[in-house]
Amino acid sequence: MSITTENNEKMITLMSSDGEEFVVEEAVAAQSQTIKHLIEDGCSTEGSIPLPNVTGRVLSEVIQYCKKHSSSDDKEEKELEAWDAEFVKAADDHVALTDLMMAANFLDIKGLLDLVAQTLANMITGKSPEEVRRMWNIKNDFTPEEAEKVRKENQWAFE
Amino acid sequence: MESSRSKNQRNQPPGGAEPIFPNLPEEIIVEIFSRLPAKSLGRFRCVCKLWLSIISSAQFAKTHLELALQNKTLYSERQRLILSSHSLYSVDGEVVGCGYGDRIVAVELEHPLKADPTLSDSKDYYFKVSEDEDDNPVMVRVDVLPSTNWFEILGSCNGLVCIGMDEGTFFLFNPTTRKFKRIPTTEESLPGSPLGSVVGNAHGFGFDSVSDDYKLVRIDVDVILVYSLRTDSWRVVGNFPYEHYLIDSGVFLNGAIHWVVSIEEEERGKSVVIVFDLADEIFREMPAPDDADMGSDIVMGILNGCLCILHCRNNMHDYFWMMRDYGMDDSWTKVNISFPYICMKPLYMGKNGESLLLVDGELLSYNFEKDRYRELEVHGIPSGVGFEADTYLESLVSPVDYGDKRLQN
Repeated sequence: MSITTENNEKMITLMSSDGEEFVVEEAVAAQSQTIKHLIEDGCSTEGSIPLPNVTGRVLSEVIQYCKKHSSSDDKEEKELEAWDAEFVKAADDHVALTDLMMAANFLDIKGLLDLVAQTLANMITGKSPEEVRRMWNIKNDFTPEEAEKVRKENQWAFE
Repeated sequence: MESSRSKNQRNQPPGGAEPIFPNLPEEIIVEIFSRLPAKSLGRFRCVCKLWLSIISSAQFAKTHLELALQNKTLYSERQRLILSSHSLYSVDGEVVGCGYGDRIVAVELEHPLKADPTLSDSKDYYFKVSEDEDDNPVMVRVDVLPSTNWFEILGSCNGLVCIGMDEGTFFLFNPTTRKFKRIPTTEESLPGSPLGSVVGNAHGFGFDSVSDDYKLVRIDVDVILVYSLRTDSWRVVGNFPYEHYLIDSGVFLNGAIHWVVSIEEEERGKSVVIVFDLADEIFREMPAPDDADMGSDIVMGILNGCLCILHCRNNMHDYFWMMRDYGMDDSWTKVNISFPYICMKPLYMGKNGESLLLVDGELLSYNFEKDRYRELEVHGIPSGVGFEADTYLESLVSPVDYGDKRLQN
């Protein structure tokens, strides 16, 4: 299925895992290498493109990002950086960012993946192992002896 | 798709008991981890067994390093300063923007050589170096070592620093993790060979991306030898094709080691840049700037990713040469500076021309755009003995068992 707008822009319909449909310009959707390849392989002619890994909530954020980045050129680099910063700030917490990162990975949108990965990295950079465990709900599966050994081997990182 | 199933399980309100990270695919964890500083990663090895295994793999160390080599921001954030005299010292904080202030505090590195009694028979002495605001003496501990125990920095590349000690004893060192490896002597690698002269040899350290190998090149009067970290051995690769006793270390850029030599042409001396490609192990040449008064007391350096030719002995000069576009002969540019120097090694250039230079034994912060400079006071190193300096990239790359995929660092 392809709809054409007044400006002759080819439109694509994306369907999220929870059945929400998004109609976007092909140029916007093609920011995702995964979708671009699906279009090239002719998968979009038979109705919408199903994206079983991405919920509607996350997909709408992804589309926001793709719209912004397909309409900006290099001259607006500074403005785009500021927009990116606001965008990840709006994603709120590390759980939402993790969802976004999973989507960026599946959809293969390099810029978004870089942006979210760096944001998550900045979030945990200065944290202690205990803080990180709490943040991500990770179980400490070392025995006290193992923990002591790893800690000793990596003493340089605690100085 | 594996990740979609685990994602649906995960999609619970935040704060639920469901662990988040263990369900993330490893590729996602690696994407995040490769953007973290080495020190955070060292700490996060203590989080859980999965994280320990990911962060400790040689493959991850490589991914982490390569991202910094591609990403300008990460590259400058991970630049650190290493100093050497009769021991090794690091300076905490980024070299980026050279925003050190006027005072640099060098901290002695816990390097294994320090603990090796066969390499030093030091005694502790305390020297008063200055007084603080309350007139209390500021003392430094000085390791008094035999004068031969000088740590020479031969080169720094992709996270590893090559250190030379006594004649023929070399080490590869990761100053971040303090992992360290002694390079066998040429005699150990090539028994019976008549090599190992004490005069007229020079070294160059770099990385060969074709064979994914760190290499140390040694010009031993007229023989070229190459040490490969992967095979942990030396090879003779040919004869040095110039009648020129090399003594200074070559500099690594674009997969090759560079020296500047003087050759006879039409009965007059002429400088030429010789380029030893680490992949095909062959010498090529590039013209040096055509400047009659350069003489032979010149050496190569690197500033802002550009090859430089600088004076290194005897007379005062107030300029150096910079090759703005690598390999383009007509891009050699004369750079005038406002302070005269005898010997200079460029260390780093940050944003807006802010640079760090080692000038006649002093660290100098110099702004090339504003032509302004200030001397930086170095604390923590025994005074009076001088020091060497270089920058290195913070990384997890280990010089031990390099390239052996079965082993982890």
